[in-house]
Amino acid sequence: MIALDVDGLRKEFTSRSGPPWRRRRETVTAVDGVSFSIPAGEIFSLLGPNGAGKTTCIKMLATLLIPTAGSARVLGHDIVKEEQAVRRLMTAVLPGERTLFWKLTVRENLRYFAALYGLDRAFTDRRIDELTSFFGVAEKLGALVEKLSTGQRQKVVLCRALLPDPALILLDEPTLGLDPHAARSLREMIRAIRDQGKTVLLTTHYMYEADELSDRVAIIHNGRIVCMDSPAVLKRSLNANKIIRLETDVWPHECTMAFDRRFPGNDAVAEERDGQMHVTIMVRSGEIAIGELAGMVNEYGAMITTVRVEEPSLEDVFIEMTGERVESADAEPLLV
Amino acid sequence: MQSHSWYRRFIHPVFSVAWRDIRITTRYKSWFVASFIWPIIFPFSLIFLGQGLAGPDGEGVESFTALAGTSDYSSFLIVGSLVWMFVNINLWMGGLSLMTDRTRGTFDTHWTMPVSKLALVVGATLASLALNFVPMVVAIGFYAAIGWLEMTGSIVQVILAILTVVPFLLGFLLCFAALTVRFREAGILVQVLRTVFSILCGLQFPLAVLPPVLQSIGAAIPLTHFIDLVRTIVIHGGAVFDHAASVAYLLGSGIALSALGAIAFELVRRSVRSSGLVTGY
Ligand SMILES: Nc1ncnc2c1ncn2[C@@H]1O[C@H](COP(=O)(O)OP(=O)(O)O)[C@@H](O)[C@H]1O
Ligand SMILES: [Mg+2]
Repeated sequence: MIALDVDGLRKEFTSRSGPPWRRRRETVTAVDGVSFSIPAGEIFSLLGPNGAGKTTCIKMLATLLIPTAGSARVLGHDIVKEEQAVRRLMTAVLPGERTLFWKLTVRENLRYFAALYGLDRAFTDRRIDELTSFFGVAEKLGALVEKLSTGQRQKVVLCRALLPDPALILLDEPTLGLDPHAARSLREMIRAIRDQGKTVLLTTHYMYEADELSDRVAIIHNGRIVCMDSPAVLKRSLNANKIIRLETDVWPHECTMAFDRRFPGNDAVAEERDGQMHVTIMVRSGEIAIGELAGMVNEYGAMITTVRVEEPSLEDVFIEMTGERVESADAEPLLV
Repeated sequence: MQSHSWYRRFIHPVFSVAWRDIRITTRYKSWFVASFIWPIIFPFSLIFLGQGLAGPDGEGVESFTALAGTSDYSSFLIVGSLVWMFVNINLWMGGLSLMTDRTRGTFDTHWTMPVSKLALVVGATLASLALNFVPMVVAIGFYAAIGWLEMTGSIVQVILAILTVVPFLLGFLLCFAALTVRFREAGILVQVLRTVFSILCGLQFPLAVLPPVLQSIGAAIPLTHFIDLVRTIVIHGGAVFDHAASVAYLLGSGIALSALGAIAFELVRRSVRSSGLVTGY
């Protein structure tokens, strides 16, 4: 059974800038013809850097925005023509810490939102007990939300989203702003939600999160899906058996040229970060002896500070597909 | 089934929103100040100003009586101030509840739910009305106890009079909600309107002192009729329905404004869903 079917979804925003007498209209295409479908019971991730169009996608699916073109169906119900039916079948967790009322207790928040979902009191109270004990926040029911930790708050938000027992749940950057421990625990919860038979669509810009959590991933870049499959298949499709990561003080251009002559059929991509050169080498044909590589680099006056040999990651898939790093735009650490 | 879903989709959410605002507001200590201290000190300066203008022997009262139709200027001013405070705080609080909901990040989440958006505004208005009954009662009790306010009318009639302004407040907040959703700076507009109302509606002085043009504009504003109605009933007694024309005007314009507000709100809701202005942008 297909839980969510998205077909050619597109969203353009027109923004006006400048003073009224010299008003310029600019059209931004935030989502540019996105199609995918999610079978029931799957965790599907939209993975992409900031500004890729993930939130805009989620907002269209959550019936907050009307698509410019294309369509989507939740269990057969159209997100535009049957928005009320869609809102009953699918709930959304939008980014930000302020999606709960901080001056209300956890129980008050959950009862309040249950009323807005149109749930009756007996069902609500039973559901609140089930969900809060499942997420381990039952002893916080009487506490004001402002007194909770960020991780606990995010669990209450998940409780809220699950109150009406939806078939599908949308999570926009669910672990953003959480410390590594809380993020890990939340990822376990998300897997548990899937194991209860729910379908989960989440967005993230963390590679390892998409890798660890998803049954399937779509990498989204500039509003388009560039590739989509299970993390394992995507990494295999990379056509590289090993990745060598070097950090050096410098990496002159001639170095790349020398590399191509010496190790034909392999790729080296260099990028400066924090005053260091980070070189990613995709080993595609044969083996590259580290000693030989180091010798070559030294000839160009560069000093290698660290060397790591790794299995390919989704990050490498992203670089391969788009020629850019996912997290170069922001200062989030690559591995937590 | 039908009535059941109407209850679940509208009535229950309205009360939940109202209850939410009441809970949140009363959890701030400032609410107690606003409800128990502010209503008592608010009219003081006006009354002393009135005493000053009346002169040491009260010779100014004569001309005041000619303009206002009563010599009881302290009751006149207290009722004016209280009514103004009531309207003002309702406009302010109701509007604020919607604005904070928008900036806080809870707004988007509400819009992903199957609840009627109108229920959110109606609930916020209801909470604001309920919360602002408290300072009214406190102030009336206090000034009646110290003898500065002479209540001739019955409290039931006063409450009935207050109810006549509910459609107007609801309509105003619906329009305000529509504006805040669409434009960020709508708060300023409300500030300006409140100040204009405070001058044109004869809150703190008899309308008769205004230039004729302003007087006739003031007379067209429903709030003027509301203040007059409450004041007349408190000071002179009588029933709300002795003033059928004012009541009809208040209710009529209130309902018209509510309808206009509901339409504006629906239009804005649609426009926002295509331009993506709900929050953040
Ligand atoms: N309401 C809006 N008006 C104009 N541009 C917008 C609006 N919402 C998003 N955008 C633009 O669309 C692009 C995609 O944004 P978004 O969907 O938030 O990306 P992501 O969630 O992947 O970071 C960005 O360039 C953003 O600036
Ligand atoms: Mg986003």
